[in-house]
Parts: sequence; structure tokens; C-alpha cells
Amino acid sequence: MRLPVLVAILAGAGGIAPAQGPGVELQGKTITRIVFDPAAQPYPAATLDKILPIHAGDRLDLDSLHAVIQKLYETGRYSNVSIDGRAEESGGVILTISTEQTFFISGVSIDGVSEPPTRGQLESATKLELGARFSEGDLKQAAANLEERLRANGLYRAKVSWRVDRYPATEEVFIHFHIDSGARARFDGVKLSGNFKKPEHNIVDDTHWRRGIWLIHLPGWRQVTEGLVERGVNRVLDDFQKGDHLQATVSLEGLQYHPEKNTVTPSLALDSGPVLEVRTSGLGVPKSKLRQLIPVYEERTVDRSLLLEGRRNLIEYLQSQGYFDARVDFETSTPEPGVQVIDYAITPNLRHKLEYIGIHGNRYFDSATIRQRLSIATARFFTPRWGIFSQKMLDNDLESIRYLYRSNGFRDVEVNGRTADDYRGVHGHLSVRIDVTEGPQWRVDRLDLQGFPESDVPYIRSVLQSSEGEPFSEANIAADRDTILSYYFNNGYSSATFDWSESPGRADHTVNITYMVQPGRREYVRAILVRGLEITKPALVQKKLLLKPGDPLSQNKIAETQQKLYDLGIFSKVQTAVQNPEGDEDNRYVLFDVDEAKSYSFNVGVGAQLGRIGGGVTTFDEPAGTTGFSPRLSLGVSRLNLFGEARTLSLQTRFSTIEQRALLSYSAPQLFDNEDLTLTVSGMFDNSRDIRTFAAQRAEASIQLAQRLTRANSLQYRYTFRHVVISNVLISPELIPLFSQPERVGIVSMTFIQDRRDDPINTHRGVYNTIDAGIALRGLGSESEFTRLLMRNSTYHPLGRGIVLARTLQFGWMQRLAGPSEIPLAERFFSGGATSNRAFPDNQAGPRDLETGFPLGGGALLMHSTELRFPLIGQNLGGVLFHDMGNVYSDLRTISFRFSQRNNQDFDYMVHGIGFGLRYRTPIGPVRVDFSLSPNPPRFYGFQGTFDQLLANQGVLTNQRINAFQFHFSLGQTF
Amino acid sequence: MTARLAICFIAALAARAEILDRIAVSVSKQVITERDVLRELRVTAFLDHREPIAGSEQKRAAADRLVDRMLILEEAALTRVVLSPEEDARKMLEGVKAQYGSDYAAALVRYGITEKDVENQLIAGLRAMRFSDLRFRPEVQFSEDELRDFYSSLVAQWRAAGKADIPSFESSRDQVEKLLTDQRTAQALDRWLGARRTETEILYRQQVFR
Repeated sequence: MRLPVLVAILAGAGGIAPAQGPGVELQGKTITRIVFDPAAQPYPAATLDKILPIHAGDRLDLDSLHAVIQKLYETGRYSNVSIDGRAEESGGVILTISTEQTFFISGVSIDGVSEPPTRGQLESATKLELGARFSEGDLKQAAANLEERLRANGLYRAKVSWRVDRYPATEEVFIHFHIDSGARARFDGVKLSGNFKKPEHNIVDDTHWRRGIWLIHLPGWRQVTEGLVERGVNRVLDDFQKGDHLQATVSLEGLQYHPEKNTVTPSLALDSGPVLEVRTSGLGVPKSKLRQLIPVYEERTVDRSLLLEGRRNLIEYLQSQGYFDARVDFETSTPEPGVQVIDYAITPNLRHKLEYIGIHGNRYFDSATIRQRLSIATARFFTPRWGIFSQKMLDNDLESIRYLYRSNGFRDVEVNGRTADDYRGVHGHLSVRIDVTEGPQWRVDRLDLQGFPESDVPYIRSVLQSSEGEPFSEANIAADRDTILSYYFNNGYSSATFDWSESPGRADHTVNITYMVQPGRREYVRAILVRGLEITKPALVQKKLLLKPGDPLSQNKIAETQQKLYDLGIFSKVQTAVQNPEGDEDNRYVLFDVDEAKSYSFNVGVGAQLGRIGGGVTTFDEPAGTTGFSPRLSLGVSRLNLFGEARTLSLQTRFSTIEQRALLSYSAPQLFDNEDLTLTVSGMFDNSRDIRTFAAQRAEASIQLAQRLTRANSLQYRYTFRHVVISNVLISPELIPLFSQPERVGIVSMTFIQDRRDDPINTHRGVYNTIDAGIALRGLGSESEFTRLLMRNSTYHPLGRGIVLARTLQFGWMQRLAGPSEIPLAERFFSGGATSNRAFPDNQAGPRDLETGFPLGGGALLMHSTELRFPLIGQNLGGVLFHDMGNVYSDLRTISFRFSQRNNQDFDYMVHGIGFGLRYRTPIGPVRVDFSLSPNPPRFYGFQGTFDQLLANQGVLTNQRINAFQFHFSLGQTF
Repeated sequence: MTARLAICFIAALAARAEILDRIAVSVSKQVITERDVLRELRVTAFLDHREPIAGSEQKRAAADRLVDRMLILEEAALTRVVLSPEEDARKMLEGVKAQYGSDYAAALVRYGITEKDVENQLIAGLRAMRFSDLRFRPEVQFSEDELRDFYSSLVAQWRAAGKADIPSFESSRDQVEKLLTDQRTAQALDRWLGARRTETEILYRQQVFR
């Protein structure tokens, strides 16, 4: 017999299925050993022993091998499993389980890309999810996706290569993509096709694909990016629609690439469609409003449902304008080919004013509580002059009241609304009456918990809203469901399920509730894997991890850890996932993949200050300041994550015509691993002329420890040493020795901050308090000894409908202890201006030099401001009515509430300012302008003459005053 | 020389470890092993009274049948439809026994299967069939014209097959309706299976099917 034939027969290659199947001779033999190939497995031997349904000593059942393979495969840790059997001479059988491990993605990095697309866009395009199973096929698909994204951005010559780092011990792969971007392609023209009447060059201009700035065209074409292509197509479409071609279509048919020139020709298919005109008759509606109300503008198509929706929107709009009985009909027509007209015929009827809203029949909730839920409103100050009303709003309000009652056990509540015209006999005045029939309040008679582990029951009962005797409502049950599931999800039971049922209770209007929970299998943390650290010390991250091996897998703790890592301020991205999410296993790896932020950050800012700041700072002109403009340039550089320990070294500089400043600071947050401690060491040089009286050069060093006591309260401990040189003093020469000597000040101070504001940038409610107390002593390096106290109390009260009443009180006091007879000029209180009393220009409050009229600062300060903040137009523009009062006083004893100034040498009285301001909301805080009028601005003597004349006691004293009208333009709320 | 080589080869084969079972296909987290595929082949051959052929094509076809069945039964489990085909499966098994007569037990041994294997396959098959009936048959709708067109196609087939006694449309309407419903149900099932196969991660291990 020839060998190949023999082998073929033995191997069963003839195609006839072996009658007994493989290994039948081993069936029933004793398994002497189970070995794994390779020996290193993802699980320790004990875990494998638990997973496997067969063990050494069992008799081999070939049919049970399916279960063995299934158990191993469903863990998700194996991509392939096979089982070999070998008979032993002893009569037993050795089973060898050969496995191929699965690897899981623990991070993707992409470098070399020339943006756009951004690194984030590319990472997302790979579709390689953190923690998910890795396959070579996915990698090829990811590379193809990257190439597609790059081509969409004109990078047709880009080459993508990759490297996969494998960590067999934890079955991880980290994938590095490198992109050689190549030159970005440029547009070289546009191919247009379809039905349109606009000149082609106009359409090409609309795309902005040619080079140019606004209307100035430069030769050549722009580089291709996905955003530019998309915006170009949208601009062409928008332009058609502006011309009432609402149904116009513009589609990008393709981008034809010319490799030899590295250029791209987009092809656009256009159909301008008919001119669509939307008209109203019977009552004029602004076109801009029609565009908001009629959905055909947004949907770019015309059908009956959209026309009906437009009708409903129009009725609602008319009702909000007081036309509560308005009727609207519509018809469409085609007066000429290519023109379609939609005519909304409005019958406005009588214009109404909502004068009264009455609530009746309510006993459980008072009317004020119910009114808080109403969106309709009577005509009042700060509400539209017709009130706020529409039938739809009333219906929504009634439903909201019903929900309130049902949430509190009133299952049978009835709430009806009725409108009546000619309220109190006045034609057109409308009243709304809301009748509440509460019905009985249903309560929980008995609450049963089923399926809950016994040890959990006391805690679960303590956090439930539905307990015996409490009102019964489905809202409470929904809240309980969330509480229970959240508890189990955060304790490792990721597949917990909840169900509930109800049955009648023993008494009338009572209900028995049963909560049923199936916690399912509990999962634990096997290990925490942190990837992506390059310069950050792993120990720093380790300290932030709230989970450790063996803990129940808690989604909350994973999210909190992620937040803590972000709070370090050194990571631009922190992704988290559970490795092998689909696998059935009890112990899981938790992944944190971090992207470290760039080591250096630079900031450049250009700004300006506009206000009463101008005038010559070396002359005696305008001691009260005059309208001025001070351009400002800021430059900064920060080295982040210094030494890999989340420290920051930063240099910030500011240059303007009134100030030059350089500040070098070193910040160490979370000092000694305490999240509540932050150490800051800084050095500063400042040359400022923001106070009209003098220019000061200040060199300062400080060390500060900030301690967060609670979420709202914090303390700062600070030592500051500064050396101030006063120059260009524009005050009485006799005072020069006192004020203009170089001064060293060493001061320790402590600040308590309590911040309970809802939003620090645009506060609506809350309290903000600060107390800053300091003492300068010779022992601290100070030439003069004094104490300094500055306190602030601000409160914010919402009055409803976006209106906020805000007030602030500021009190300051300085007391000389020893040293020169006066507290140094630069240390005294200077105030007034945009952030304090707006009756003054910046830093112009308080005592003034009796000859020159320049401000001297004071030893005490008392300011109070009240603001009524309200919305004006839309969401972004608001208004403010304000009253400021207060001043800087010579010392504590001279603080006075007196309204009038006694004479030109009296500055210790209270200056008032009332006014109006505008606020425009921006992401960095409101831009504001304030106009203030003061009934009692200070008068004072100024000096007309030169500095020499002043020294020679010549020149002329003149009567001057702070202008009664002041304006301030700045960023952020006043307080 | 050749005989000596053959003896050495047989000895080597006897000493080596033998693959007892391995993954043939994985359907999401479930596995179909090589033994499952071979059992499917043998039971199907047993029911069809033919030799069990385990070529790569036949193994692949058997694996495909198992995958389809798995997808259908998974869906049935999710929808919690009560399917109780055990009684019917036993009746069918009795029919099979009757076909084999006294050779039944010997045939089972010859095919390398047990009665339980046959019964399990019948139960699984019936369960899948019932679910697809419940799920897809109610959705089947057709017009009078479609029914007549279908009848015409049947007539053409009968004529091509040389059938002499061709019934009229009216007299065979019920059977024609049933046939068309069966066909449409099967088409709906195929479409559904196609969609499920696209949504589900199904990996065939090629080494099993070589």
C-alpha cells in the first residue's frame, strides 16, 4: 500500500464522517490531569478550577467538553479553545486545554497628524473602544477609517502606519498610529450641475473655496478641509434660501482628486427649486418671526403637517401678544410657474390682557406653591404688557399642577382651568380660574422588599421615599427604583433588575407595595490599569484611585476617580472603561487611559480699559480723572505638571499705559496629598499708575497656603513682603516725606472665604462672604506697623422670571501701630469705580490732597451696593438698576452716613450713585456697561499750575468736583 | 519499506494526543463545537437514511444550520414565547423508529449517535420552526393577483414535470394559499436571519472546515 493512500484513510479524508467521532476510545476513562497550553493563563489556577465544569478524577464524558469550551469562551478572555486527550498507560486520560488569549484595547495614540482633522476626531474615527476586544481585522478597519478621514480633509497623500504594544500579563494592547500627513490638497475649481439661475461665479464665491478675505479675492484656491467643504455647501444652500428658494437642494456629488497636482475638484448638484413666499394677511408678523414660527423654513419642504404646525405656532405667538382669540387659516397657491405662495390669514379679534389668575379648591398646597408652577402670568412690571398666556401654556400648567398632586398621593386629583373675558367689567381684560378638586390622599399601607439580601434591607428602607404611612405616588416609586438600582450598580451588581407591584391596603385609600429586586452576579475589581502616563509620576495617580483590587465594581467610584484625575489639571483627557465588558467574569480590570496635557501653555491677551482714567499722570490736570482709554497686552507662559507632580510654574505679564506687571508663581495643589491644601509661592514686579495720585513700583514676594474647609468655606494663610517705591507724587510737597519714601512692608494675613453662590460668574442666589485680616510688624520685615481688616458680605435673592436682587456690603479698617506717623500711601484703601461705588471714577473715593485735589486713600472704607438684575432681550441681554453708596474715610471714627458734603475739605460723608447698566452674557461672564448719576459727588480744591509753582507756593487753587455722571465699561458682574 | 513506514506512522498516531473537541463557530458569546457539527451531520444523515459525509462543504452547511437555529432560539428565548414541541418530537421519533424497524438500534450505533441526540435535534428543529411560524406567518400578506401569479408559476412547474392532472385555481385555492404563505414565511425568515447574521458577531474557525 502506498503511504499517501494509507494516510488519507487514517485521517478520514474520504469524507465519510467517522462513525464514533474523535476520542471515543477515551470516553468514560478517568481524567488524571487537566493541563493548560500555554501554562500562563489569564486566570489563576484556582479561578480556572472554579470555571471548569470538569475536574481531575471525573470520568471523561465527551459530550461535556462543549460545556468546558463554552465556559471558557464566555469569559471573553479566549479567542479560541480546543481540547486534546491522551491516554495514559495507567488507563487514565490527560486533557490538554489549548487556548488562544484575547487582547483588549487599553489605549490609542495618534501622532504626526497635521490638523485638521484633530487628534480627537481621528481617535474617534478608529472606532477602537477602550476596554473592547482587539482583533487584527479591527486594526485594518481603523487604519482605513483614518485614511478616509484624512482624505476628507485634503490629506490624500497621508500614510498611516501603526505599532501594537502587547501586555500579555493583563491581555492589553496599546495601539500607536503614526501619520505622515503629506501636503494638503487644494481646491482647483468647482463643477456645477443641475437647475439654477444664479451666475456660476456667484455660487463659487459663496463657497469661499477661493483664497481671499471677505470680498477681496486673491489668486489661487484654499486648502481642502472637511469643515471648509461642509461650510461651502451650506453657504450655497443658505444663499438660495435667503432668496426664498426654501426647497433648494445642494449636494456634494464627489471630490475628484488629481494626484499629479494634488488638487481637488468638488462637484455640486444644485436645484434652486421654486420661490416660496410665506405671507400673512389680517395682521402683520415680522418676517424674522415668521422664519421662527413656520417650520417650512427649517424643514425646507412644504407639506400639510408642517403648514398645520406653522398655524399652531402662529396662534400661540398671537396669544402671547394678547390676541387670545386669534384664528389662523392658511392656503397655498401658485400664482405663476416657479412661485409658490403660502398665505396665513389671521383674524386677530380683540386684544386681551391677562389681569387675574385665581386658584381655588386647593387645601394641601397653598396658592403660592401652585403659582410657582405656572408659566402663565398676569401683566405686571417686567412681564409683557399683555401678560403671558396661551391655551397651550395653560394646559401645560394644569398638567404640572396635576403632577404635583399625584406625586403627593392624590391619585384622583382633578385640575381644570377656565378663562373669562371682561374681567371686572373691563373690555378685553381676561381672568383665568384654576379649580382644584384634590380628592383623597392615598398612602402606603405596607412596603414589602423581595429578593434583597438581608443585610441590605435596613439601609434600603432608610433611603426609600415610599414607606409605610407616606403618600403613595408613582413618582416616589420611580425615585425609589433609581435609588435601589443605583445602590446595587455601585456595589458591583451591574445587572441588577427592579420590579414592583401594588395591591389594595387594609384601609380605604391605602396601597400595599412590593419592591422586587434581582441583584444578579456581583463583580469585583481585579486590578486598576492606568495607561498613557509619560511624565506624570504613577504614584501621583495611584493616590487618586478610589478603587482597589477586591472592591466591588462601582460605577460611581470609577466616575469620581476620573473626576479626581481631571482635577489634577494635568490631563487633557481621562477615559475610563471596564476591560472585556462583554465577558462573563467576576473580577474585572478597570482601565484609565489618560492624555497628558501639553507641558507648556501660552496665553496672549489684548484688551483695553475705558473710563475715567485718562489725563496726564505727571501733571496736575484733572485730578478726578477724565475719560480715557488704556490699551492692555497680556502675555503668559506656564509650565504644567512640573516634575510630573502636577505642580505649575507660571509667568504672567501685563503691559498697559497705566500698569506694567510681571508675576512669577509656583503652585503646588494637593499639598502633602491633601486635596484641600494648595501652596502658592509668587514673586511680582509691578509698576502701576492706576491711582491718580502717584505711580508706584512694587516688588513683592508672597507665600500662601490655601485650605478648603468645606465645599463652601476656605481659608488662606499668607505672608507677603513688598518693597514699594512711590514716584511722581502729585500731592502737597509737605506730605512727600511721609508718603513717597520707599517702604518695606512685611505682613501676615488670613482670609476666610465663604462662597455659597449658585454660579460665581452669573449669580442668581446665594451668599458670598470674605474676611481678610492682616498685621504688618517690624519682626516680619516691615518698616511701619499696622493692622488691616477688610470684610465683604454679598447676598443674592431670586425674585422669579430671571430677576435677581443682589446686594453687597464692604467694610475696611486700617490701624497704625508703630513706625512712621502715616500708613504708607500704597497700603491705604483706595476705592471707587466699576467694582465698588460707581459714583466715582476708578480709585477716586475718599480723602484728597487739599491743594492738588488728588486722592490720598484712607484708613477706613464702607460701601454698600444694591442691584436689581433682570432680563431685557432674549437670553443674553440683561439690565441692571443699581444704587451704590459709601466712601473711603480718613479713619474709623470719621465714618458717616451724612448725605451732604460740608465743604471742599470734607470727604468723610456718604456718596450715593444711582444708575442703569446693561449686561451681555458671554461664556467668560457678562460684558457690562454702567451709567451712574450721583446726587452728591464730592467737590474739592484742585491746583492750576506747574510742579515748580506748587513748590514755590504759587499757582491758583480752583474749585473742582467729581463729575456727577460716570460710566464704566468692563467684564463681569459688579459683585 | 513502505510497510515499515506505515507501522511507524500508526504507532506515532496512537501515542499522540487527539483533538477531542474545539470551537467550530462562535456566535457572539456562544460556541458551536466541532462535535456539535459532526453530530448535526450524523443525525441529519440518519433522519435522511443516507451516509454521513463530513467533507468541508457538508461541515460548513451543518454549521450554518446550527448558527441559524441558535439565532432563532435565542430570539425565541428573548420574546418568552412558550413553545412546547416535546410531545410532537416524541411522535416524530416514533415515526423514525418505525421507518428503521428492527434495524433502529443498530443504525444508531452505525451513525455514532444516541436516541437522545435524535430527540434533541427534533425538539430544537421543531422549536425553531414554531417560532418562525409564530413570528413571521402572521405578517404574510398577498393580493389576489399575487396568488393567481403564484398558481400560474405552479402550473408551469407541473407542466414541465409532465403532470397530467392539473387542478383548477378555484379547486386548489386553499393549497395554493398555504404554499404561498409557506414560501413567504420562509422568505421573511431568510431576510430576518440575514439581518441577524449581520448584526451578530459570527466567527467560523477555518481549521475545522478544511
